[in-house]
Amino acid sequence: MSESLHAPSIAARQDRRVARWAACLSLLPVPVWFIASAALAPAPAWRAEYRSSPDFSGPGAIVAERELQRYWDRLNREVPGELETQHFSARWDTCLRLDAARDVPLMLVADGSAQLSIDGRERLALESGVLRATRGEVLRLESGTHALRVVLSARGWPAIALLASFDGAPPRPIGSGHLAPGVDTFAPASSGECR
Amino acid sequence: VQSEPVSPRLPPSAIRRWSLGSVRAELARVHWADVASLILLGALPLVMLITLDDYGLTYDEEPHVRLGERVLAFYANLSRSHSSLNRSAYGAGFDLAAALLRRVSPWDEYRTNHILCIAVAQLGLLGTWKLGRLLAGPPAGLAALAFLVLEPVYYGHQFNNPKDIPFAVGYVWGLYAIARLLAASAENPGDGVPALARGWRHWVALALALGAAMSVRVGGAILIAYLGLFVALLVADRWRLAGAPAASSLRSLFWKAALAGLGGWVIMLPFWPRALTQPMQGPAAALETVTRYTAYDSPTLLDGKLIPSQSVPWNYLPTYFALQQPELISLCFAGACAALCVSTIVALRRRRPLALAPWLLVVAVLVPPAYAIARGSTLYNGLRHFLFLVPPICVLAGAALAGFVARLWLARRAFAAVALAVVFALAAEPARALIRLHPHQQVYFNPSGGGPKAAVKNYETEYYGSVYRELLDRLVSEVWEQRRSEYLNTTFQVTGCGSKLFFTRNLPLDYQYQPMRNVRNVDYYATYVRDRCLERHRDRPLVAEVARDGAQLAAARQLRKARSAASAATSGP
Repeated sequence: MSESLHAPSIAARQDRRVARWAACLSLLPVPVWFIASAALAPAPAWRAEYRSSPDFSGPGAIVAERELQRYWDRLNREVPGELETQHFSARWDTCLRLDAARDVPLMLVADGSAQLSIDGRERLALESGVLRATRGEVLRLESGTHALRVVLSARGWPAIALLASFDGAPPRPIGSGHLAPGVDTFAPASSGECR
Repeated sequence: VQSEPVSPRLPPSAIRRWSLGSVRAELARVHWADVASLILLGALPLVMLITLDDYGLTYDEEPHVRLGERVLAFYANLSRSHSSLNRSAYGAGFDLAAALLRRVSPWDEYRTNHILCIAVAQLGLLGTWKLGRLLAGPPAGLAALAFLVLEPVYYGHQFNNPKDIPFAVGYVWGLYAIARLLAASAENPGDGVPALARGWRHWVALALALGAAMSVRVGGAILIAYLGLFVALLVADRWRLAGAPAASSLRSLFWKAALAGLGGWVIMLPFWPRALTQPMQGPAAALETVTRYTAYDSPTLLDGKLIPSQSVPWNYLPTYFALQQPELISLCFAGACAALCVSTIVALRRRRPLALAPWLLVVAVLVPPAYAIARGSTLYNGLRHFLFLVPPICVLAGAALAGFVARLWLARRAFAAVALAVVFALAAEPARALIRLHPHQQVYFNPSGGGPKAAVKNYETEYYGSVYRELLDRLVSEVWEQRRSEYLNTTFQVTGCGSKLFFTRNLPLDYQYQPMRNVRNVDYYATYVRDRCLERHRDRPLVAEVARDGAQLAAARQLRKARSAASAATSGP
């Protein structure tokens, strides 16, 4: 008698439990993964400084970015510091750490005028015309940490990328954190040094 | 309607101990179909997360990213004019959530969008399972869920469709909330209408579901019409069986239904600034815009013919549903409709309560396409805009299958075993297609339709641009292998059909997009199958392609021969 009286509430409780399990199993993994991945994602390795003038004076902004590949167009006008899209200068700094010496195919791509320097020495420079310009070279980089700097003077709709291949695959934008076995990038210290 | 299935074996004092043994004991008390559903529901998000990066960005994502940002800016600067938002025909429920998520996400806007897409998709899978279970018990829930997973077109869209899938999710939860109210009354046939009118919990859930659906597409308002219609039918059915209900019960019922509809409307408003500033005119104008949608008249394919999307024949949608839905699901859906008609006739003859919840789903599946056909709505991209019909179809199909097998099991187990063997054999085809077509499941056509190979020239297959990720990855690898000597100093000029974003977001910047009119100085032509773009430049060498099941979905061809390193290093030609 008491069992029959209890049966509906027991069944309802059982159903609620199944529903709760279903909701947890179904809905939790994506947010949990998102939070964990976002928390564990490497910090942005590129320190980007945007200024309104070519000598890097005047108003602007310093931001952290995850990879060096950016372009601006009619739908994508925003420059940090609310600068004018077609007239600004920017420089990006990162530190590249190599466990061993290696030959690295490096490519500098830009709409505008751009230079790449490694450890203070200019290695690639270009000036785009009507179309985007690309300069590249296979550079021998010794083991240790290297300071990479890319400078861009925007003109027209600007674009900038620093591509590299560390694993034989086609060159891709240099990102943040672990890029390949024995290759990492990290942000320079506030003094600009790679330590 | 069998709601809240009973399992009397649960001990009254179930003590929770979180050990493996206690979990195993707990599972032993749960219906086998629920265990299978839990495993499937738990596995799906993991599979979707693992394969997330295989899916490319699609046509609709960029405008929705911008809409989300504009709505966020609207709230950040309420004093400014936001005239463009007053023209938006879509609510920004999903887009606003995505814009907020982007503020904390370490990834770019499209990867963040895709993560939110699959999070929302889980809600749709869960809602479909719950609706199936509510309708006909745990086996029906499992069958509905499995059928939805086995719908390749729906599966593929779950990763990168920011409009149709979120709306489908809101729609299925809206239907669940209405069906739950109908089921609550079926549980207490003696009380009937009063049982439905009592309490607020289900009504609040209904308002939330209505608001969620309408915050993505104004068409979600049709759920309010379903609510009114089925509450009226329920009252009429109770009247038929037990005489006129008390006026006070009817009044309470009317007010709660009206408040739920109003609540849904209010929940929608903050996600849609146009509706916020014009609560009635805005949505009404948007409904007119989306049903006619005269701003778009690109040709669409049907049976090998290109026809203007503003004047498609009546059989456009039925044809796409017949060809893109696995036969097993179509068969079970037809069986569900036939069984429902028979059971309704029997119920009317024997003075039994009508099973209104399944009828709700039949109406929810048939009315929107019937309205679109009757209005002569603009239609394109196959069944994409009607993906919201897929979950209720799967629920009805799942309920029919579960009921059929259960009856056979009771009559003769051997028959049930044979039936299940046939079902598994038929289900194997879309299951294999999910793997074969990955990550382009949306191009699925069933074997009766000849599969993707036969469909690719005659119907809309890869219209959404997702294929560009795979195509352009292959192009870059091929060019890197074939043109290594000049690669480091060359800006390759690329053109193709579709959005510029397909190229700028899927290629490194040493590949520069050129509009199609500049094709003279272009190195590569990379395109998907839409608008018969694959038929152009067929005489040029093929560099990379994406094909599935013998259907070429996308191809990249070399238009210009290799240049010398010196000329390539300068700014192009």
